[in-house]
Amino acid sequence: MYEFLEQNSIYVVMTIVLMIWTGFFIYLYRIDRQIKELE
Amino acid sequence: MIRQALAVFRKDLASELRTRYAINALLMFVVVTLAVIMFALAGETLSPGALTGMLWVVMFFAAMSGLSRSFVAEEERGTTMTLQLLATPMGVYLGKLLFNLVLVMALNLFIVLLFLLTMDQFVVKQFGLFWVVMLLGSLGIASATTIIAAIIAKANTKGTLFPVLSFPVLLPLLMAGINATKIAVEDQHWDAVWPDLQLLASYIVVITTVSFLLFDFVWKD
Amino acid sequence: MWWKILLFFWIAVLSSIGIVTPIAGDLGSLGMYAQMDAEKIIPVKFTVVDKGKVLTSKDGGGWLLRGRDAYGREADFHFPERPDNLDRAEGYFVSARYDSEHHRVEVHEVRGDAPAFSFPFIPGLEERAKIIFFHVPMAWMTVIAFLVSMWYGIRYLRKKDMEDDYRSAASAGLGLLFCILATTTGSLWAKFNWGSFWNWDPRETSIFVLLLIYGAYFALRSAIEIEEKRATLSAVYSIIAAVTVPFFIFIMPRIMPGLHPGSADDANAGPVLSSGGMDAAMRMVLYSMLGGFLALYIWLMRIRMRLHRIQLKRAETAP
Repeated sequence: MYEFLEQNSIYVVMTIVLMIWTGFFIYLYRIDRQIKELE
Repeated sequence: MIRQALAVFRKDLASELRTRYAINALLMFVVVTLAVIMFALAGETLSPGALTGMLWVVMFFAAMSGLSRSFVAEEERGTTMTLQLLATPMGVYLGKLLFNLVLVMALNLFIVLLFLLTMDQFVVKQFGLFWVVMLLGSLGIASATTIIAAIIAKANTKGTLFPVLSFPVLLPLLMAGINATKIAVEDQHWDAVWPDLQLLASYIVVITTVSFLLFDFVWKD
Repeated sequence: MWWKILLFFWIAVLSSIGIVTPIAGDLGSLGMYAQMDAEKIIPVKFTVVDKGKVLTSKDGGGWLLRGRDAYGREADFHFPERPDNLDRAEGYFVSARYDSEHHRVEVHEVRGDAPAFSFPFIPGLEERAKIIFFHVPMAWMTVIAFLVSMWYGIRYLRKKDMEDDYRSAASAGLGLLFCILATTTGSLWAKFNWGSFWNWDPRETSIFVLLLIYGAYFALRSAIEIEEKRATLSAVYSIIAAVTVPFFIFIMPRIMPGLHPGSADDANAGPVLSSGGMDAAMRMVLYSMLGGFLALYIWLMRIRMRLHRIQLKRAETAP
């Protein structure tokens, strides 16, 4: 696994980007739900 | 409308000549700025191109410190309402534009003359082109800043906001103007300056038309 | 609810495709590097035309294959030893350079089978070309958000509806966010590709001007307290600014020499912007990504508008 990632470091980039997107979407989704409760 | 514009212009000119507030402040501003530049450059030789940039910096900031005056003064004296009652928005706009135009042209003429006298390295090779560019530049600065002065006269922080709002709008003019002046100073062929002159002319036409259409919204509360 | 989850998967999958898809050159890029930098080894994919033969030690030994690239050009590919899976292999993905002396491609490492889906190798950009899937949609969203803000500004001036003014401000806020993101991603990338964070390339100037305009817009809004006045004046300012923006966004970057693709001196832009336009695979991912960003923008706008309505209701009911 470690060796694979070392040779294909582009997958590390992909993982980080996906983590950022996931975090951003979870944040937005929670705001969305909170607004719905307020409404 | 033309008569109203001329009346507004005469009124501004008369009040300016009576107090000489803007003229005195601006002349001092120019002298001080040039003195600072000369102190900073003491002994250095700069290329005419770099001095061209500096000329435009002085012109820009001199315009920024003086041109908001015509509208801000109306707000401060509380005469906006009277003017709204007596003149149409178009007349007021044209009058103010004319006044700003005269102010900018006088100011730029003074700056350029002082620059030519004090900066030995600043030698203009093509004077005809140089004056054309200066004329177009003054026209552009006046037409763009008049509407922005009208906007910021209604804001709370009048002084600091003016350059902030003006700079992005004026930037195409500044870039084309600096480029064209450089060509005039360095004596390149007239063909090279043609796109810049076209740009300056179209900028003036577009920004004046848009200001003309929008001034109504700014002026009446 | 469902379209939000769909949007997440859309963006996540497209980001992954954009990042992971291998960059594979062809014989054209090999030939270009043979003249520029003969030692440079670049990734290349090709299909096998002829399974080839063993070379005698006089020719340097190894294995010689006849290969064809995506554009139908053929060349000999020299492997140091007999490649794996030669019996079933239809194509190879290798690291190679062009050997002008022997008129053949020198293979240094076999990466695997030729991938069906790949992006073209752009000299000078290589893997760094992949920023296009993130940076360009952000820059487009900056302009789109600005135009939307101006559009609602015009609508406010015509109809005097305060909701339009808030839409205008919300769109400008999102535009500022996208503008900052586009500037930082581009600036970081420029450090690695062009050597410095900021070069005053025409496109960099244009995004800087947009940043200034957004800044001035919000400075103006914060300086006026009366709501109607603030709405009118900021709408007027956004229209005036929009008059000068086309010069920076659409005219200047194309008539002046610069570093971005599409500049006036851009003669050898490579497959991204050659006469046929961008590579089809890249263009597909880019436009899909742009759609994702647009949906994201709409979602963010809706959240801001709903929050605004709640705040209005609170302000009305509060004593």
